[in-house]
Amino acid sequence: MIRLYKYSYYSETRQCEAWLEEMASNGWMAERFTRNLDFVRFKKEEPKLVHYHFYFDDERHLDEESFIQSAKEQGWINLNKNPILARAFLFVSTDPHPEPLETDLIEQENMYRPRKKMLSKYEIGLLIAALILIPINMHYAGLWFIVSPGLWPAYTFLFWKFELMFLPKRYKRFSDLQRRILALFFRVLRFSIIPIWILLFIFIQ
Amino acid sequence: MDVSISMFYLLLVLTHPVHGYEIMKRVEEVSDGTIKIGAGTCYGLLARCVKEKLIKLIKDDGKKKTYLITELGKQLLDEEIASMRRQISHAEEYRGNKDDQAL
Repeated sequence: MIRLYKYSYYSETRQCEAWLEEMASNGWMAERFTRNLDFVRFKKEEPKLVHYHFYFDDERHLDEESFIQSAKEQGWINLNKNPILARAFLFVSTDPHPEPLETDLIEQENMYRPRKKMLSKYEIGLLIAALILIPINMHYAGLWFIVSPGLWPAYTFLFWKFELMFLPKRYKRFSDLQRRILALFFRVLRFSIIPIWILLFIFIQ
Repeated sequence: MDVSISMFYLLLVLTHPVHGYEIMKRVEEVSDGTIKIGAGTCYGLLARCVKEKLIKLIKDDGKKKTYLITELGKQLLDEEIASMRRQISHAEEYRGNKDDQAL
């Protein structure tokens, strides 16, 4: 069974872990993940009590190999084999009382603070690109500048910003079904934005 | 710079060359089992301390990376120990005065 992540693992990390644990307790073990941790494939097994833990390394400074090995020695197995885009590790432990991977709340806070800074850098970069590209595109394409490929960074920025920063806060008010539909809509939109704009561009030409 | 308990013990054990997993075990030994550092906390701290030049990588044999404290790290550790001594001295002095008054 393939399911979309019910929560935004980035901003609702603990809820996401709890959901995966709940699925495992109902006999659905997380088996494979997409690289960006959008989708998860579950395999039907005997119901099990397992623990999941997300670990983020946004600054990409971690000694990855040793870290995964040390976590394994503590009983945690890394499931996200290709943490390319998200750079998020997802560990699972079948020990009923596993040793925690993160033991210091102050250090945990220090670790996750740069995530916010990284978002800002990314946002500023996209915003500058958009500000440069909008007048250039307006000059050459007139009103059609709206569908110009030159504006992809701006659109990516808007969708990314909306999905990551705005929606998770609103998710709290939604039912399970609404959350899934919204999450699916934004994920499909994110991955289809370039083909849609190429088609529009060809059509207009 | 604020030094957390985990960071203090990490810098302390790295006054001798130690590699990643060994650091976690060494911290537990040095603290008589009172402080346990998880792999996530340990490797996150190692990355941060390298970035802030408090420790340095001295050996990388492909499987294990060995780290050692730098002069800057030693300075920070000494400052932290001095600060702890002051706190203990203040506590003992204050409690001593209170005990004298009670008598």
